[in-house]
Amino acid sequence: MKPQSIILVEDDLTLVEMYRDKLKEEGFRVLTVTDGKLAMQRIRQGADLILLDILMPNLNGFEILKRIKSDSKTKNIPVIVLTNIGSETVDSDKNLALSLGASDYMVKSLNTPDDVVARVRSII
Amino acid sequence: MQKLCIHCKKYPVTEVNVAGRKKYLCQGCQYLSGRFLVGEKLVAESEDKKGQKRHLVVGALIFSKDKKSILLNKRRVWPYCYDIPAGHIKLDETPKTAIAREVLEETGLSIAKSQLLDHEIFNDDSCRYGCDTHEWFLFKCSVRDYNVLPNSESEDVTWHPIAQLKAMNFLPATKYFIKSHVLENNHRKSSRKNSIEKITDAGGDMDAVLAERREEMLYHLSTALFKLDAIENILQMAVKEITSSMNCYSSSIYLYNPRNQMLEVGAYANSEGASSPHDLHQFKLGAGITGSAAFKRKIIAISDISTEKEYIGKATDKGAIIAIPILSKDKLVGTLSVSYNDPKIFTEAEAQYLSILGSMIGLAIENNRLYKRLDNKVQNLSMLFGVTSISGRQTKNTIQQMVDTVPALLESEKCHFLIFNPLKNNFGSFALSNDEGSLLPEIPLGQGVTSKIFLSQKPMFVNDADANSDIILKYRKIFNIKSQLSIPVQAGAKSIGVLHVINKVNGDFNDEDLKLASIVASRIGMKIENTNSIAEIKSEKDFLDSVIENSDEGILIINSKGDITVWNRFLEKVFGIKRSEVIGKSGLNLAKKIGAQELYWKVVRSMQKNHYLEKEITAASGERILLGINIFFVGDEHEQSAVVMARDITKERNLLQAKNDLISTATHELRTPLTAVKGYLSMAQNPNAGELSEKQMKYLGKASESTERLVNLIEDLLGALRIDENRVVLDKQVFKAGPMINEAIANLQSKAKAKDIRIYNKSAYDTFVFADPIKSKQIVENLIDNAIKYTHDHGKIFIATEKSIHDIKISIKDTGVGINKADAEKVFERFYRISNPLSISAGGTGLGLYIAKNLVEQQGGRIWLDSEIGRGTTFNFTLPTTNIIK
Repeated sequence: MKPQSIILVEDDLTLVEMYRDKLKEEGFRVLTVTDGKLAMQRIRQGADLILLDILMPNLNGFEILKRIKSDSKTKNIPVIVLTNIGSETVDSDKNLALSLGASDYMVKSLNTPDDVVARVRSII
Repeated sequence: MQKLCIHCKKYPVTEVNVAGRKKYLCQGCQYLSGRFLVGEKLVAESEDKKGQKRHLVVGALIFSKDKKSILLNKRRVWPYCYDIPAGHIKLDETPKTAIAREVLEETGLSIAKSQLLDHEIFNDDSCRYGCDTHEWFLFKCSVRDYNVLPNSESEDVTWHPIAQLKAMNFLPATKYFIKSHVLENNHRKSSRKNSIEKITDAGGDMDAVLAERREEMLYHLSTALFKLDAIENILQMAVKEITSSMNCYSSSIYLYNPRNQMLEVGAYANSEGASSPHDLHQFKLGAGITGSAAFKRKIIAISDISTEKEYIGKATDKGAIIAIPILSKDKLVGTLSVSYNDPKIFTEAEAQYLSILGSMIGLAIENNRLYKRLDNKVQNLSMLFGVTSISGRQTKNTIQQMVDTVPALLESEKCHFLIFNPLKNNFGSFALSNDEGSLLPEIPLGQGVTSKIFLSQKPMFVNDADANSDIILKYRKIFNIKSQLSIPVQAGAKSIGVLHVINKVNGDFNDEDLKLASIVASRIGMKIENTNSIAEIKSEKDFLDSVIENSDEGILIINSKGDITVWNRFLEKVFGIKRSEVIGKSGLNLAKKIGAQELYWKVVRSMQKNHYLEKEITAASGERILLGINIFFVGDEHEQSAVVMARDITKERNLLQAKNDLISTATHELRTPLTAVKGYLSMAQNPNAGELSEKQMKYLGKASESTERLVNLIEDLLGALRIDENRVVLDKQVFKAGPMINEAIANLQSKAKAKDIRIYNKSAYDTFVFADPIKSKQIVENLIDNAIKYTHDHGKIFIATEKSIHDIKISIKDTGVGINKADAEKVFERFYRISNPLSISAGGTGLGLYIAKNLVEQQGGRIWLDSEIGRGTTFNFTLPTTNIIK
């Protein structure tokens, strides 16, 4: 079975490494994008899931989310917003993300990498 | 062949042009025929017999559509008249002559043309012709009343001839008519003569004639007495009547002037028609027959003046004279003198008759005088009241005016108003009637009537100044005081001065004067009070105006009529609209102008008394500002004004925004490295990463725990900071309590399991709650979390709900360590941690309960705890429930 591909959009290099290692360990193919501008290009190439950070230089994660969901090529790719802003309970950022079409919203510091993997698995 | 008149059928008609329409005028009977339109007004030119062009105003005739004329309405073409009287009137007849003839025909009386008065138009509907003997009213009325056109459906109108008037029993005319019939007999000399001759010829009683005459005169005079005409006219009429009814040469009324004790002629009439005597204009009291009668107050009748010594006049005068004193209430008013050219014997009846006349004349004169006095007083009073309506600025002038009216009002010489000066402890002259600037001496408190009145607050009057020692000598001399009336003046409850009325003319001051003076005093007092109040009110108003103008908030007030009454400087600046452009103008228009129309209607239609909203606008300067707008209503149910206050909260909002941004940034920055720490720790503990010694595992575990604490701290901090924002939006919904509690429990299940604590859910599943479901879940979670923390391993947690009318109570009971009384109140405070071994190891930030309390109270509920050390704690909180369940 072809490994599922995940695009990880994240600017913090430490975290990029951490998640990439973990996901690879779990058998996923991981593509990372650290610059928002290049994100759409990568995404258009297709993936099974996108892990999207919000606070990034150059381009806001919400903007990317909007574009993903409006582009016919990419709108069906599930997106998990993985960020350190907002909150998992009541939050305007979470609501915004969900209303823009994100499948889930996770606050990085509240979840171990295992939690992330579990959530990814539950979606794809 | 010439057309014949359709009316008289005798004479031919000529074609005339009346207001552009062709009509036919009969040359004989003056009948106007032709086709008429309903409501047509007819003005035409015509020539009379002499060939002179005349304007003929025929009048307004209204005819039925199917008839050209109405039989009863005899239309005649008149020169210079506005209506068409009925009757057979010849071409060269004037209305006057026509009436004269009508009267003759109707009543058998002939009257001279000169006795006819001009006619008067009352209104379009009626016209009055008058003469000495008759009043003719011509009215419009409906033809239907006369059954002329029984089948006519339209409202046809005609001028109403006198005959019909009588048929309608128009009483005044009728009455007058009857009376005038008799009067007419007496009026003209010749006919009167004839009538008297007739009577005497018939051997009648002279006395009877006189008696009849007397009755007539009395009737006439009595009606004249009610006339509030000038007394001169009444007297003139009286003497005229007397001259004719007594068949004398002349009669005159002399009026007594008590000041100089003279009798001056008031009215005169002689048989030649003169109305003023060529001599004998006045008599001294007691002089002559006239004077004697007045002096002696007795009727004096001289049958032959040539024998009378006392008679004053020419030596060649002869004849008779009778003089009757005119009295009123025992006061001499004057004398009535009747003189004859020939000697005459006066009968008892005549004397009696004249005596009655005399008293009636006296009554009339007295009435007239009283009326004049009353009228005067009324005028003065109304002037007094009228004067007080002048605005407060000219208080001194107003009071001066009021003081000026007093002498006339009270029939006295002067009026003096003094005001008490508390600084000097004396009275100073404030106003003196009809006096501009006399310097009058001040009166120290304690001296004079003034002080007495001021201190006793009792008014009084003194009619003999010399006998009264209180009156200050200085003033007695200045004003030459003989009598004085004094009234205290109060402004509101405060005594401010004294009003003096000096020297009553013609007599003494009495209680009535006191009453009048009191009225003046109270008006003066009111005026001063008003002025003070006005000044106070004005300064108050000025102050408030200043507050409104200088406020750094925008204030807009719209009254109950929808007009703008306040628009302050702040708003002028922000919107670039000046006060003058909006004050008094429609609030709705302003709303439209600034794009707030929707808001306007929303506020107007809403039942709410208060509104708050925030709106970003572009100010006149171009900058974007955020306004916090408060709208509330003031006034009672009848008159409500809307007050709109707008505050510039841009800075505050920016600050808030900055703070939020800071919070976001800070949390993000804190979270990121923590994520790495937590993540790698977790991965390190994973067997995949490799074999670890027991110690290493333990150390990693400790590190993880602490990391978790850090993570939670940050979450709590974030939560607490958000609470402080107090603009947390509550998403109130109706939801079931059960599922919410279940979810909360589920979220904490793992934690509870870690300590082997069992959670028993006894809550009612179906109870509906009206609150924010997410926040409510958070509360429950916080409390369960707390319960878990403070309960030993293997403990129990019970969750229950209790419903009451207004709310639902949720309780989370644990079998934990309990909280003592001292701590019980403080647990809900921020960062409060009980010093307790368990609590230290339990971790936590001390924020959980603080957050929970805030969330509970924001939703309108209460939170409290019951606890027993060693047994456990029950946390209770309420959420509003709805009544619309089921």
